Amino acid sequence: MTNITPRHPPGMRLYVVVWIGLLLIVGIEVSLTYLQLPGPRLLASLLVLAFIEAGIVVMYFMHLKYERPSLFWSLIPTLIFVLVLMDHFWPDALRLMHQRLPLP
Amino acid sequence: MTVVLLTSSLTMVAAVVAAQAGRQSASARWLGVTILLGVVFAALHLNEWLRMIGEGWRLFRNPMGGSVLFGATFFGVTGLHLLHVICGVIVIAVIAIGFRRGRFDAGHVETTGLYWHFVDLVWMFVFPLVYLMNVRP
Repeated sequence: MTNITPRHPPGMRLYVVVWIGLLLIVGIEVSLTYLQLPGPRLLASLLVLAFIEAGIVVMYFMHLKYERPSLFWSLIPTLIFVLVLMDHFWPDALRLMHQRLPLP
Repeated sequence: MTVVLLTSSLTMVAAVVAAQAGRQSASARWLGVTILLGVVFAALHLNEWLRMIGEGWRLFRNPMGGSVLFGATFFGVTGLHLLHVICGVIVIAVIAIGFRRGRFDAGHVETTGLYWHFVDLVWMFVFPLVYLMNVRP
């Protein structure tokens, strides 16, 4: 088994702080939902917060912050590739919006 | 449910830290807590599903009169996530037993941890997009 121990493993105290931070972000997400924001604005806000949460989890819980810089940078082309792939699905998603069945 | 899953990520990290420090029994204990939280998440999820099915929600039926695609999207997305959680719980149990008996090492515990954090990460998008976007205050 390959040893994937981080070079400078942080202590549990930092992980607890990260966990509290994630709970706070979830709290903000729930609060935003009750502010009666317009749909697109709410969606954008929730997505930004979800990406921040995901970034924190990847960097700290999944130890990317403590890995070699080359590993971090190798993820950037992958991310761009995924976004390009998703871009190919948007037209299909928009087409489906116009194919919704009428309300009963 | 979200708090339970986030907490299970923290206990998984505790298991990895203990495993890397060579504290085998502490690591196995934290893995046990992670399994418990995973089971609680799955139970809450199934309870939610049963309530919704009781209210008339189906894959292609929306009792609230909105888009019929909501049922298929909801059960499809959350069902796939739940399947990953259940698989994760089984894998963590196997790794915990193997690690306790010395068949697996800290690397195995950490790799399992990466999978579990990924399951948590996916929920961070499912929760706002499927649940919060459909809240009607």
